[in-house]
Amino acid sequence: MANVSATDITKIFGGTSVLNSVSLDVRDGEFLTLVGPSGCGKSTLLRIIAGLERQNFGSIAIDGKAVDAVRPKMRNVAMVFQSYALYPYMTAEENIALPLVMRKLTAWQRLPLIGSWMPGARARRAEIAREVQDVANALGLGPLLSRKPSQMSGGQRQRVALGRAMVRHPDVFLMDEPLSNLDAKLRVQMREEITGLHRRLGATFIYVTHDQAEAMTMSDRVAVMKSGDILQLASPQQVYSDPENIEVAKFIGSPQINLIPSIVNEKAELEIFDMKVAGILPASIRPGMSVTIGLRPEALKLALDDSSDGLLAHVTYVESLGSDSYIHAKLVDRTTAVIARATPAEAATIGNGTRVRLRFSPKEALIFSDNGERLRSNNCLPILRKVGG
Amino acid sequence: MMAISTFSNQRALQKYNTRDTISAYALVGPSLVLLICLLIGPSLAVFAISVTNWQFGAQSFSFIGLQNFRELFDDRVFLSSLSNTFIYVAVVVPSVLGLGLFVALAIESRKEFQAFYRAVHFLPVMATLAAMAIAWEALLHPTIGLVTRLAVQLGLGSWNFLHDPRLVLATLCVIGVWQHLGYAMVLFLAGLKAIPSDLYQAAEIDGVDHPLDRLRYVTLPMLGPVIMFLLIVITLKALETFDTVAVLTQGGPENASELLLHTLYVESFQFFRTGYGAAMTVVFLLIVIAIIFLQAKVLDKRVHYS
Repeated sequence: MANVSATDITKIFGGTSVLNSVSLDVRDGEFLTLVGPSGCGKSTLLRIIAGLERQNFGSIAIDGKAVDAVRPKMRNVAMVFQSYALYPYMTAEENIALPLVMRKLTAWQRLPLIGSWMPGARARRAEIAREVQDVANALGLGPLLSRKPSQMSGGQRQRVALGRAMVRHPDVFLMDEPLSNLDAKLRVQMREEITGLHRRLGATFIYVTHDQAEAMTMSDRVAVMKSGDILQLASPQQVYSDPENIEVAKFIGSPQINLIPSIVNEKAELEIFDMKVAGILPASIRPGMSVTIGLRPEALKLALDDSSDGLLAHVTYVESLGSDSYIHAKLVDRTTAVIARATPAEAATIGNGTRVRLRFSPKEALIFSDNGERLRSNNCLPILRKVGG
Repeated sequence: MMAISTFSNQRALQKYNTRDTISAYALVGPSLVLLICLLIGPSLAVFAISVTNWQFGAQSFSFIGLQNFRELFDDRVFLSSLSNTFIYVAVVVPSVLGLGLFVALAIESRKEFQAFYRAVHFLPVMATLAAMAIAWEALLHPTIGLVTRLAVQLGLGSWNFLHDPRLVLATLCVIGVWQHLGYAMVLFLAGLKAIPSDLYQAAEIDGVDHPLDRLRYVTLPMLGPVIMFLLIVITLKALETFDTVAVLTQGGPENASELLLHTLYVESFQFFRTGYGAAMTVVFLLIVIAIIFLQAKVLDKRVHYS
């Protein structure tokens, strides 16, 4: 068991900075997910933690000890790759056994042909076989042990890769998009299996994905990354409902959050097209400033056109998912597209071109400044604070 | 109504099937004809001639059974040619594979001058060996050759690489290795490029981080198909070595550099003992087939094809 901490990690590839002084503390036994669009540096950070890549600046510590000069195999981490990276010429059993073979057998005992005649080799081999069997049983791989990866399905290969990681009881599991090569149904199933595994083993998991659904469903905490920075590190619920940054709000949540431009008027009210909202702005915000309002699809409530409040919108498309319906609409400027969640009963009353009002409770509105910072009603704009003294 | 339509469907289906069969034969046909004319026919002819006493240009010949073969195994030239060929293959093939892999790994490990080193090592493969053999002859000349003079300068004594019966086969082996090295290297380089880097990284985390361990647990198994292919091709090329012998030594001195293909050529086309030459060819063919079969049988099971 171990905590992992990365301090001011900077990585530069050929002149471009991939990680900009990133710091991250992963608690002992935590399931932490690094999530972000491709190219955000999440995999690089994971590989630096594994020791496969060396950072230009900064330090990695595992269990309180700096490991910057420690080779990957001595860091006591295991890694699961997106491609599984199984040895295709070895059976599942040999794949799972290799980490143990390399650790428990001496170079003499590993020699081909004569290795098994070296003193102690047979006992060690038997011990390894037992441990491999235990891991295989735990993962339901028992009957597949003699197969090669090419004779297995994607899900089975995934399990072998997990087995190879588990077999030597590492302190930290590093997973680099392990589910992205699986089909949708299997992905959901493996999601459960991996979280179950995390609970059983109690080890620290650092999980990289670009799939926000995986991040939301599996993790204790989520680190949302973009362009080499961690934008927010918080619980899944918090990054969803309380994002610190417009990029986080945009990345987390499907369908995407609705972003509506708005202006602050003289009376310190928000003017969103023909609608005015008062009382949700930070005290220090200046009139005339433009801000962006973020509203989750479920925050928008459908009302008919004749009701007095809400944003006027034209329905462009009704998307029915059975349990829910998503109403796609354009606001009065005819360019701002929004999506509202509705019950099938509500959706049944409207069609393309219907004029509706979209109502929302002001406290569900997330307000972002022009540079993407979140403006909370009880604190003030960082920039304004600087200007003010 | 139903029955009739099913029946006519069946008819249509049958017609399509017949048409498929015809087009299949039409497509296979040309290569089958070529195969028979160029490969199977001549091979059968060689088998037929090998049991006769035909001499090239002779008006008549007679069937003499296995006489030629009996004579072969009393023929000192043939026997030393046979053993020389085995030695030659046994030295050249492992050396080419080993050195080829070594050079490929060395080139692959450095980013600088990769193209240059690749080209330099590949040059002998593209050059005409008969011409190159003359260059070798100049290098190895007993009095004015560069290599010989260098040996003298270094105090290693005077060597007569091409005319000393104890040295000549070894010299041919070295030239053979030089000749095929580039080919093996290029294929190994391609094979190395095809190994996903994920695999090396997974191995590193699993504890495979000594270069020799990496070679054993990742590189060599992943190169299995390339090694298999090279083993067969280089064995064939080594078995049919002819140019160097013909240009440099003509099999001498004292038959010490006689290789099968050269012996066969001398018997058939210089002494015009066509029947005897054909018998030699049959033995040669059987050896080739046996070796390839053995390699395929033993190795194919251990090679992983992805």
